Amino acid sequence: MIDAHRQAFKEEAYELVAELETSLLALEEVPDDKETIGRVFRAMHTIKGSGAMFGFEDIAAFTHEVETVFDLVRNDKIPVTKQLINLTLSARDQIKAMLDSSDSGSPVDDSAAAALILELKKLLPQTGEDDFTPVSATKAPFQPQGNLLTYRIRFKPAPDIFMSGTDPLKLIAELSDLGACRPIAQLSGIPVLEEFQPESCYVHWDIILTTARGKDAIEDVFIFVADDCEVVCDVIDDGSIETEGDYKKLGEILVERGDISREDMDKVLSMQKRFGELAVATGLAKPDDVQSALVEQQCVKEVRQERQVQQADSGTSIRVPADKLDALVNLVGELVTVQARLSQTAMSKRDAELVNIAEEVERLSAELRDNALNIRMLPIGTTFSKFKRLVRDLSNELGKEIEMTTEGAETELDKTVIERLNDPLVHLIRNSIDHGIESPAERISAGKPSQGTVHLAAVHSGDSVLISITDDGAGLDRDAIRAKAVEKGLIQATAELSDKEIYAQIFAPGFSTAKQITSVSGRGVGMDVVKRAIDALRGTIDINSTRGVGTTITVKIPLTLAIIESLLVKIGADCFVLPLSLVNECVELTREQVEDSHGRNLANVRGHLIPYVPLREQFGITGTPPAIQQIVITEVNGLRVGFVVDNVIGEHQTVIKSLGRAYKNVEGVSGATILGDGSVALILDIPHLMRGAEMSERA
Amino acid sequence: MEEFTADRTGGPENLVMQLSGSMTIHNAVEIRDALLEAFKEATKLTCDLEKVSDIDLAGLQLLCATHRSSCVSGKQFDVVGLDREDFSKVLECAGFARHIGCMQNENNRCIWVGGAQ
Repeated sequence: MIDAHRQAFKEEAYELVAELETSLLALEEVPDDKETIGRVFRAMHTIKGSGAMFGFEDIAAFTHEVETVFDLVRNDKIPVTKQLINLTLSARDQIKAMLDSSDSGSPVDDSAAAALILELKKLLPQTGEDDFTPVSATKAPFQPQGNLLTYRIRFKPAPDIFMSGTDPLKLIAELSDLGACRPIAQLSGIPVLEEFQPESCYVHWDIILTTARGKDAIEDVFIFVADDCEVVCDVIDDGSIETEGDYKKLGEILVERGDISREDMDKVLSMQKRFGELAVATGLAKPDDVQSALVEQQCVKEVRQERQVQQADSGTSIRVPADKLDALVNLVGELVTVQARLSQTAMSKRDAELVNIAEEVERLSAELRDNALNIRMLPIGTTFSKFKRLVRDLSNELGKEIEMTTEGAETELDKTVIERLNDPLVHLIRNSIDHGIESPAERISAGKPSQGTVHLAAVHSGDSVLISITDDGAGLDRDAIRAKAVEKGLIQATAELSDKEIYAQIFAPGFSTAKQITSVSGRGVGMDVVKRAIDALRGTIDINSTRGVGTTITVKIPLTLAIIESLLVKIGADCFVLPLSLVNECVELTREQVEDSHGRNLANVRGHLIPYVPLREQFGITGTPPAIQQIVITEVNGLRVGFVVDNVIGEHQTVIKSLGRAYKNVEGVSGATILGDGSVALILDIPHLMRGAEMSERA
Repeated sequence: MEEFTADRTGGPENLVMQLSGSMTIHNAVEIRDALLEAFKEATKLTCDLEKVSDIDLAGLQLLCATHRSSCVSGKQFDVVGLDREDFSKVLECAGFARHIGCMQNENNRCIWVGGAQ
């Protein structure tokens, strides 16, 4: 039981640590964004709190130190500096290391933690190094004892309240003990100094208080001054989540309080400017009123947001181990297969009732399939934010100024795909930073801004996702790549190649044009690994580059690995499956055409010569091909190759089954699927077959 | 309770008043008189609160009223030394910090805008 809790804490902590990183990087961009500072603080606060609860004292203690610093940041005591961000990022890494090590049991290096704390302490203001108290009084964390309600309290003390020995500020301080309290003083009653009675109170307050303690507790605060003071207490947010009503607009708050009339509000609204400024400018509302209403709006907004976050955490989502989902998707795959058999059987039996049932099952299983796959979908944004850190650290290391921008972070992809995409993308980004983007000096002399940009974008395209990495660096050196490829014997010195074909050479094993090897890249291992990883995901890579302007690498990845749209073909008695995403078109191949081509496997398709692979020969299938065969033309990385089959049956929803261990090394086949009649069809590994054909051509 | 004192330096064009002691209700009368006195001759007055031991609502009100007077009479009034941890706590608790200045003055300027400046 304890272990389960510890595990839950760790899962949460890993998420928080990731959130911490994202927030810190965001903070680096906008250093004075209060909201981001708040996010950083909350993430650490939660790690600390739950860490201590589940026996991760070391983590709690360490995080406390960092949190203390951020409390000062939050209260504007110390500024957000690059150094602070660097240190806090290192601290984040330390927390993560502590989390990691809690599994293995080997303690992490305490000295690193101590050194970090020492560095952080240096950032603190010199006065009172040890006596700062974290968390200011007005924002003191409080234990909710019921529903959190937000009140608007109008507190108008009698002018002679000082004479009774009461300090209004003490009352407000008492209120802030009840919960998050935001007082706004209404100063418009203060006269000029000449008319000022020193012992009168000219100020009244609008206080926004969020508390679980109820109205009675609020009234208790004012109990001794109730006769001399005007206290009006209204609930402005009752804790329910009716989202249709959103938080109130500034004008509505002013109208509701009777500070302005609805007609006045409409008049102001019709001017189409910011309401607050206008209300003041037109003299309809006093600045104090507007100020106070603004605070109220902000408060309610914050309270609601927080509640929604909590709701999202507890009510609307549950944590499920990934393997349970994998099992579900597998079962759905089986179901889809069986359903295909059922449909086929029903059709062949010509039983109307059975056909009806089969259709119903087909509809349901299709829905079930989509749902099950959807559950495993994750936005790619989590991976993107990891890259932000990578770009930051690398550009520091290499002395380059690089900004990373992202687009389409909400694009969803299968969880397994995202995981397996991580390494190749890291590699591509490293390449862009190391080889692509020039040093600031070079950039300026080339007339570019000294800061380079790496743009990461994800977008849906049919049943695939396109992920592009664009840099505004030097671009690929076509001639250098060509020279290197010739030197390595990859291409003929005289070969006429398109830009794309030349760029594709960088995916050859051991290929690197970098003259100097850096710790980041240049050893010539990498791009081939990237290509293999993307191939394994049944994806493709496309390179576009303009010398001096930049490079775009686009990775096209299928949405899911479990079920694909495919083309079912037949050779002899065997069925095969080709991923539909790679198929361009199908053309006929007659016996005459084969004879005309004099033994070269080339087909003339609308004036273009396209090489083809006769699969019947390739797989050693006996028998004679029909008089008219079909060429399925596929395209991978801009290269078009045809595959000759007997018959094209049609599109097919393919549930991918991996081949057993014994067949792991079979080339040209990436998996198998079970057809409606129970027979097995092999899924062709198109990129691999293409490479094989190329090799044998050259030999 | 520390006694309130005001030490003046500089001429009427740029009068600086070093306040010290307690700026609370107990000294409110003295503080007002000192401020009124100073503004009688000065066209520009700067109050330095660095040596002030504590401040309460009465003190804050007075600063606000002084600022208002200066706006009406076209004089200049500045406050320095508000930027202290204990003062910002009081300001926060009293809800004086704000984004929009009061209406009586030029350009919506206010001594409380942006918290304690």
